[in-house]
Amino acid sequence: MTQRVGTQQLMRSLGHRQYATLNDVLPWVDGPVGEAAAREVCTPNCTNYDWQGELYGRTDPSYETLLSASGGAGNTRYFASLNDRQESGIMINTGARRTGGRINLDQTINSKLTASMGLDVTRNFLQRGIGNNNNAGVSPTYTFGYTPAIVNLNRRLENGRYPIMPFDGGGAGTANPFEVLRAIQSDETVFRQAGNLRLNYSALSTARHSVQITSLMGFDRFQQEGVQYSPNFLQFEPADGFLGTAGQNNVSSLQTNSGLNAVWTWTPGSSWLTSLTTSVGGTYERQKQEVYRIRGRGLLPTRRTAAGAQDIATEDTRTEFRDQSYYLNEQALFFDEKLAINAGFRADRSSANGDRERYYVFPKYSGSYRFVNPITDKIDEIKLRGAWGQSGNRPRFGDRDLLYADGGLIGGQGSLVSAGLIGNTAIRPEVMNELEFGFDASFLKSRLAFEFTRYQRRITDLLLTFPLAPSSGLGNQIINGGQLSVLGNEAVVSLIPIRKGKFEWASRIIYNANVQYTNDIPVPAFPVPGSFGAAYGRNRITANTRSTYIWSNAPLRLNPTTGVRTVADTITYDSNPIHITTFNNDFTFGRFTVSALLDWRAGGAVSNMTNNLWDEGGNARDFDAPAPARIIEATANQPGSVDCGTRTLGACRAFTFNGGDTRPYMQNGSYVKLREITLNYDAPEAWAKKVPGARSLRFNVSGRNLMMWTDYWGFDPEFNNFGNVNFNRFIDLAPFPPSRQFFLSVDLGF
Amino acid sequence: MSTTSLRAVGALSLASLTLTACSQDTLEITNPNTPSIAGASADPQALQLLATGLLRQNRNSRGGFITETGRFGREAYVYTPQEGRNTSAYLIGISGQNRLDPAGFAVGSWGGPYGNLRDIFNFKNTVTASTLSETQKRAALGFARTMEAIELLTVISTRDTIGAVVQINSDAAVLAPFVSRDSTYRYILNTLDAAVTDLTAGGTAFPFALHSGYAGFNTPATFVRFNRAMAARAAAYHATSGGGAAAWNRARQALDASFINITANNAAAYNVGVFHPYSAAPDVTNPLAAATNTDLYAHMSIDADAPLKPDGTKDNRFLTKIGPRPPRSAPAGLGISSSLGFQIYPAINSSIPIIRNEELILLRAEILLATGDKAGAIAMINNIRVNSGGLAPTTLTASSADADIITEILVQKRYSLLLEGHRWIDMRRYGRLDQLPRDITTGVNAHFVARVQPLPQAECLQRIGQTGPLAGPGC
Repeated sequence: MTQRVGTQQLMRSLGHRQYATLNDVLPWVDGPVGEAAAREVCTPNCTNYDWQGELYGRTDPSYETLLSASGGAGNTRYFASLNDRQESGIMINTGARRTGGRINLDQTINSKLTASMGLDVTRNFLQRGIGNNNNAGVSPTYTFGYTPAIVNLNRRLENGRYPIMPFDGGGAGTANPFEVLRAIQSDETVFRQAGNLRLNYSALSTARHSVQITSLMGFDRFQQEGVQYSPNFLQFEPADGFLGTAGQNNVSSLQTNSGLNAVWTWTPGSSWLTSLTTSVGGTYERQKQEVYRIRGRGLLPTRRTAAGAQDIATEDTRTEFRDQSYYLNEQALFFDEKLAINAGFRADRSSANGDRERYYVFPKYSGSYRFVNPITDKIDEIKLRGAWGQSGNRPRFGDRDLLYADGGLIGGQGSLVSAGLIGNTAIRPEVMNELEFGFDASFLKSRLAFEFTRYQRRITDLLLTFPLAPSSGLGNQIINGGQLSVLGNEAVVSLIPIRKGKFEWASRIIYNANVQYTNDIPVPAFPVPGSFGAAYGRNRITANTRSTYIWSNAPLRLNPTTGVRTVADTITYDSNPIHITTFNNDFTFGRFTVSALLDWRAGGAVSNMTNNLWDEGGNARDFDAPAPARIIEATANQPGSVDCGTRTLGACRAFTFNGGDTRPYMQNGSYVKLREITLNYDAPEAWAKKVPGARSLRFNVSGRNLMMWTDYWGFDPEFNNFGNVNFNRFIDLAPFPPSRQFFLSVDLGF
Repeated sequence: MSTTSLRAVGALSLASLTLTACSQDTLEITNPNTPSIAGASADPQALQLLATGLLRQNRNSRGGFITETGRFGREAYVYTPQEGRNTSAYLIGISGQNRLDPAGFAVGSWGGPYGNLRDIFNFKNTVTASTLSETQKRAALGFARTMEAIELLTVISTRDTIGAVVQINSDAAVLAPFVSRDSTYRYILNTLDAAVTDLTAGGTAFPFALHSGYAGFNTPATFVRFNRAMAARAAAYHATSGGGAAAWNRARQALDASFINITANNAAAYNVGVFHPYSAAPDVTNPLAAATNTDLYAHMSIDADAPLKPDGTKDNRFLTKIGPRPPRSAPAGLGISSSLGFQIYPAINSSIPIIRNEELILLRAEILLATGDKAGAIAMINNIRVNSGGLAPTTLTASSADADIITEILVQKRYSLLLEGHRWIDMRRYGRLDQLPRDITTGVNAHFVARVQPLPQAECLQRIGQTGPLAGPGC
């Protein structure tokens, strides 16, 4: 049984420009409503509020309770657990709760047949608040950038409402986040049930041979229910002409799989051949997902459902995959397991491929050799290893289909138009080719160990959705073609610098560096879709070029005859870090353990559009700071940006940006983060015994996201507006801020 | 081989067999979300759905065309409080350089029209290969060719000297060449003429229904009159873009065969024409509707420049089309503030005209002036001044200078066709873009008047390394 209690706080605030007097703020009130509000509160000195501190200042406790039990009798074993975690968010009206239970049963039916089954049920309730890109005044970090924090927005008026946001036009294009967050509903509940059944038949078991046959069946089902509601009275509600919005977004998904495999191990007892293991098997999988949404706008007051709304929109999409595969694998161990050789293949076919009957075969090979105590017995072992393998990544649902698009209604009639995406009836999986080799070395009875791996991942026959010339009248076409690759090194050092009596310090350092290339593409270069325009920066797929380069506007195109540089959409920075290194240190002293995890990212540019918004609105915390001669100094490779003249720092950044130079906001994303510190105390048994029936007791104090050292202007250089995507993952645009968390936990064993 | 090995091999074979039992047809699933080309084409409804698709796509780009040309022509602002680029990308461009950003906002009226041109291309092929009667085929082709010309006119009126692509290749990955502005106009006019030939041989009815916006123009014979109205506009545009006297004559002939009614003297008669209808979801609402588009503002010069009626009050067109709004400014000092909005499209189901009689009367004024009939031109101007604006007849006479009469026609077009996508194009046609007001004239945010819309970056990137007509002009 484990009980945890914790709290959380805003890790880092963007700050807010401080306005001293009415005259300072007047240029930034944006319209007569804002001006009136400013004149009312600045008389003539203004009070500056910490809006972020108030909105993201929730420190309500979080709880987690975990119960688990295991046991068994005769031929039956079980494991069961229950878990309930309630997490509070730093923002008003946010949090999450996850409740789950799990049960595993193992049953021995007879000496040859065993069965095991598991069932896992969870309910996950999420109330994540609002953040990110939004032009309607709903996202707080966006809105705050355009609004001077000189009025007290966080107060309830006599009529039960909150003050309107007077700045940024003061109309329906903005809102008071303190009211919005209290009034809206934006919840998501996910119910998930997963289960599996495994039957294992030991067909043969002799000194030399063993054959195991396993059948596996499983299912994973989830139902996701999203509920949105925004009441009629909110300031931004009139903007779309409908008062009140209610939405329901549901996803229901079912995945089932079944498989059968057999493993034959032959141990000939030979001096050179240790063992030979042959595995063969196959799987059949189905995935089905249905997304349905309904949104109603124009609601009767307090009505939270879409029914009867003035404007109702619906969506209903089904996707389904069916995949079948076989595999055969041979593993041979020689010379007392010093030499290992592995070879095998996998054959896949899928309903997503153009040819549904064809199997695509992906081979793989690997080998390693261990030198045990070479040269001296101070060297425990040196292992050389290498592997090459292929795997397939199936096309997306619908890539193989030649479709019309629903053109929508006009005058009450439906219509058919060309789909923006041309399918491909010959589409096949893209192929991931992985080559890696390296060595592992361990010294001084494992007190010091090195691992080094060099890896190359090449994706060939790329599933490429490339844009057609707009004048062709079609949007994109899907083909297999081109190659992307990642080339990288990973090194791990594990050492125990001190081991003395009860004290031990163990350290592990992981270093990873890679570069990503587009090697070739069979079509003209194109910006990766799913981002903003060149003003915010994009990745571009272009042959023989790093795919992590940020292409954005900058006055870098030189006209050789005039010597004048004009704005062009060109490579400005690389979003890929030089390296990411993780330091993990554990200190043990008797019953105490302290663990610390530190991450260091060096380099990697971030397009800080949050900074851009806050400068455009005139509210960046350093807006009034003195500017350098120019924001970007000239280097050997690049000319500098325009002269700042008499402008202040924020004004000069915005001025440079408005001139078509995005570089002021392409900022270095280097950081050092103290991700976690944990202090653990394993209490003496005598303490535990004070609780009837208990046998062990542990205490644990931990802190997450404790510190970050960075020059980055925004909340966190790791944020990305588009989430966890392969490209365009460097855009910081008004995100939800990060939080720091603290936990105290008590762990009681019976 | 030992018996144990045999048993093992037997077990492995059994495992393989069990899996093979999964039959192949379990991988056959159909896409339930979108109609397949093969399936839908065989449906008896297909022709109707495809024809409606052309009308629907034609409507798609209309709102964007009007707000973009409206901003260039200083009719409208789109003042989104938190997105300055809806102003700067049109009125400032790349600051200090007086040009628009091809990777920015102001690159509309390109992908949309070409999307429909692709469907028109497919539609013509479908019709030709269909089992329709020869008469029905001609009617359908006449309809499709007219739509083709309308889309290309949108393209060339926004790209002007850049030219346009008039060819659709069956393989969309093969680039089509650019042709000059002059060639584009000739192609448009010839296509409209060919459409008339088809429509004339097209019997009494289309093999599909047109929506209510075509009321009065929904048979081949009446659709010809709409076609001729578009031809009159296209020829007049061509005339001021190098087509000269021959194009003016062509415009005159087209106009005479159109639905023009020069005796119109009230709103109903001026509003005879063809429209895009809008409606609540699941249809699309009017993107310019005053009820919902609260970011759309009117340029303050519309107020200052409004002609006065004899009683000293403002032009009736100003009074009915313009109304007050809560004052709003462009973010970050990118423009001046405005307190005026448009009432032209009051509701979400207000229709937007494609072409209507009031424009035809003013086109006739242009044509008459260009062909030497000043008195006739002034008569047209006066019809509009008196009946549409409530103004006194003009003081211009047949002895007035051509330039002054053009000025007067442009004023009437401005107020009669406000927020219908004309002002910027007309001012460019007569070389008067420099007369459009620029709200900020100095400093980094100085405004300029764009002459043409650039090709979108996506078009340019496809044409890197190409030469001659395949290269993207102006990229």
